[in-house]
Amino acid sequence: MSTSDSPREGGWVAAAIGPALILLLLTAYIPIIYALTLAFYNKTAFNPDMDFVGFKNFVWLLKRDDLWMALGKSVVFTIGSVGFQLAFGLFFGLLLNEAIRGRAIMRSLVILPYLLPTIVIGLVFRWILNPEFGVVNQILLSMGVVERPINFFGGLDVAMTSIIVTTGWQYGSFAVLLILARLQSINPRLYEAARSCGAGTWRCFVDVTLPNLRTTLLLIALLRGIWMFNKFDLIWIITKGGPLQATETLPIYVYKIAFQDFNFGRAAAGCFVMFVILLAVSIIYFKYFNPTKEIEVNR
Amino acid sequence: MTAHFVVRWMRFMWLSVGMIFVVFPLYWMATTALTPRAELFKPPYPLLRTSYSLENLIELLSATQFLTFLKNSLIVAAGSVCINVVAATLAGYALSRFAFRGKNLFAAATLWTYMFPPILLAIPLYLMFSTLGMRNSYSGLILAHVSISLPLNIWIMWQYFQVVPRSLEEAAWTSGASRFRALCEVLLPSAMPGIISAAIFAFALSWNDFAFAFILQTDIGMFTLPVGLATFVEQSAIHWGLIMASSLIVSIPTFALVFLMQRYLMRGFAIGK
Amino acid sequence: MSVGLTLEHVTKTFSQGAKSINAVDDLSLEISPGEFFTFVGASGCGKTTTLRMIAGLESVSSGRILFDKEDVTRIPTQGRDIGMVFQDIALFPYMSIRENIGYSLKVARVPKKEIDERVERTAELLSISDKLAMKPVQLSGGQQQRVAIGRAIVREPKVLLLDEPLSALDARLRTEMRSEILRLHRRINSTIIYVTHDQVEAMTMSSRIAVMEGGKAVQVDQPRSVFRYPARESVATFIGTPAMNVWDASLEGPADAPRLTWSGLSIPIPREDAQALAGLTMVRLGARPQALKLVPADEALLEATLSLKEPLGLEDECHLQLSDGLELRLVGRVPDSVAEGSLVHVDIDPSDFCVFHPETGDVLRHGLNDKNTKTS
Repeated sequence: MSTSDSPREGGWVAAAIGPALILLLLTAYIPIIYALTLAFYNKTAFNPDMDFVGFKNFVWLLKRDDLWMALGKSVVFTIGSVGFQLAFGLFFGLLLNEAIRGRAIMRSLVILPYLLPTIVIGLVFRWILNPEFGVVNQILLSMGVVERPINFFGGLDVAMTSIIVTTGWQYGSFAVLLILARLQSINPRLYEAARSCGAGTWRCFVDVTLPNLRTTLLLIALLRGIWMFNKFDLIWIITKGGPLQATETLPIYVYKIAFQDFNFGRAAAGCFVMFVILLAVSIIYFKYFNPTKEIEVNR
Repeated sequence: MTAHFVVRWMRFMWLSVGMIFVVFPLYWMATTALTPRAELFKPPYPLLRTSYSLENLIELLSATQFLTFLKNSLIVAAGSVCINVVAATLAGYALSRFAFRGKNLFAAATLWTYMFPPILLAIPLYLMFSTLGMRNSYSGLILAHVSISLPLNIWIMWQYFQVVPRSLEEAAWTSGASRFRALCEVLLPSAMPGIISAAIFAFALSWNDFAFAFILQTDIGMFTLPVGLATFVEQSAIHWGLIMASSLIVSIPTFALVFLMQRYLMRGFAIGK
Repeated sequence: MSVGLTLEHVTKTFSQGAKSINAVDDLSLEISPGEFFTFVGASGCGKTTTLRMIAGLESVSSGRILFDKEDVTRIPTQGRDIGMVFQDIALFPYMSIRENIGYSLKVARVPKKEIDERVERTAELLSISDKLAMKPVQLSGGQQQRVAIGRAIVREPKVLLLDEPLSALDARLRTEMRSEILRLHRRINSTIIYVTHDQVEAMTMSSRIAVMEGGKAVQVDQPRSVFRYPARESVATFIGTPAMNVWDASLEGPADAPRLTWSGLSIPIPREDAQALAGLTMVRLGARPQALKLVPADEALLEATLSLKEPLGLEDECHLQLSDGLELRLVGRVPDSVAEGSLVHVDIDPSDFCVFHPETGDVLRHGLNDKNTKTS
């Protein structure tokens, strides 16, 4: 189509791409490169110099049970949360795709949690799931479901589940949005054709809806997966990784090395590990999805 | 006929259960925010409250640093929105209208950046900004927020410009308008929905951000709302009425966004073409 | 006001990876002032690229473009003083019709009062005076097209370029706008360069047409001449509906009295034509469907089965099947008594035959000028 074969256009390209390029370099690429190099240095808050230490930070990190525990927690958290979000997305996506009175307002309500600041969600869930004053415990007690209040975020056995449900509540609507958009773009002729061939509601779902949704579901799983794996804010706001280390996922662990131990070199080694995982997932993403067509994604 | 009726009712029931799950936490936030102080720590609470009061809100505005946090949040968000709109519009224009060397690389790298988690960027930025004296500054936090919102915004703008027919711009050229003039008078008005989406997205990410502000701003006077609110639960006597009141106020832009601009949101965030 | 155009060895090369393709290949043309000149051809033939190079929207890889004597090859679109109408109409959606039409005048800093006058005059010319306050979306497709034309002609450009302007309209409107554009051309007298893939548009509107193929203009002439004397088999089948019948025929018989044979038929080749065909054993023979005539059996050249009859109104389009399977089209008045499946007798006047080279497709003869046979 258009070719930048004249010097005039070259100037335009430079002027138009320049600001974005410089900003991204300054705020993303240089910091990432810096973090990746830092992993090979000894840098703490108490040691202003940077000493090259080779793989010592990695050796320290990989020898710790904490790292492996954090990785395990991250995996559990990611799978649980993404699974919950997909279920949530399918549930509302399919129900809200039908013509129902009040659909517009219900759609808006479903989108709401996704756009709320994480701090609000963290605080609200801490409040409603509070063991002493929480309304959920109040309801459960009055209905006789439990005898003693549940310490949702403070109990070693339930904290992770509670966090997963909370993130599901927050990010489920991301899945709803994408699934709804996909459902709406399915050509209604396909359903008419299937029905004219004698397919019932269930067959229509299996033969028309599901195949059309497959890529979308995969995309959600992949993108939300990588973001949930690296989720920091909500977990920190609610549990700070506790009780004990019950919800201490990799980002929380890395944060603690950096800002509680003030050992930036080791934290950078942790960042390196996160980066490698991110890299692996993004390779899959770029390989299996044509990102130019999937720009509708959101954090 | 009856079977159809049953299906409709089942669907309605399921939706109702789901909607309660979605809406109840928000309802409870609002209710708590408006609960009179005297009743705050006296459970059980009635599920439908009849007595309301603005005590919590008044206390929030008068006895806490809420307004400082609000000011900081607004300044940082405004900065992020401005930078995002200008940089993303220009980059989107270049991507949609020119073929240049490294274009695919730039596009892919941009999208990849979008996958970077804040915590991965926050640690090196903390160290870099410490050296540069940019911690606890507006400019530092604005730049940090740009790092997470600009990548997607470039894609949003690219997509919007792609949809505006080239011939529109060419019609302006053949009418004698320069490239810059055609961009301003013809392209930008047509891409307005995209620009609004980009602005909303930049605002939302900045307004909602916790991780960067939490790590980069260590002086309470420079805290944004999310980090400021987090300090309310650090205090020995947790005042849930106050916390829910502040949560309610922080959520207002989200409510406004969803109800006033659903059209733009759906287009910008969800619908590809 | 209007100018003549000269294209000198104009070439446009697009590179696709390692390959490069000449979208327009060494094109040389002269277009006189005030002409209605049309580039016609199938998609991908280079016609739009040529127009865009004339407009300055596409750079010229090599060669020159001149407006009268002035070389504009390196002059950007903005400096060329042209008006252009785009395939997708491309009105500025948020501007009123008045602003749309007056845009080029506003850019040229014409005083407000004069802009208004000229916009109103143009709107009147296109009978859209009552629409000036509206927005493009409020107008029908045909009205939008008029606005687009108005926007292009308001500043009385040296050349008016139209890129498939009617393709976005439905069939009825297309015919209507065709006469509208013609009328306009008579009124404003400016040079018009028109691009279309529709040969009917090209035939009915133009003073001259260039039939494009693979980036080259294979024939440049008046529409009637292109129809009557196609330069190539591809031109012959492209221009005219239904397409010209073309089939293989072999050259047989002694060198001094050769005959063309096909489907068990045989016609003599007059001497002057035979010279042009010397050395060939086979040719492609063509005859327009309109040249095929139903005649009594004793006057007939050939006999065929009427396999399908499509009424066109006054005339019918008939599919004829010869004994060996060769299918020919005939257009003419066919009596109702002649039904599908019946045997018909057909004659073709030798002067209506076209003979094409079997490999190159170039025309060898227009008509076999046999003076001895009957003339219609």
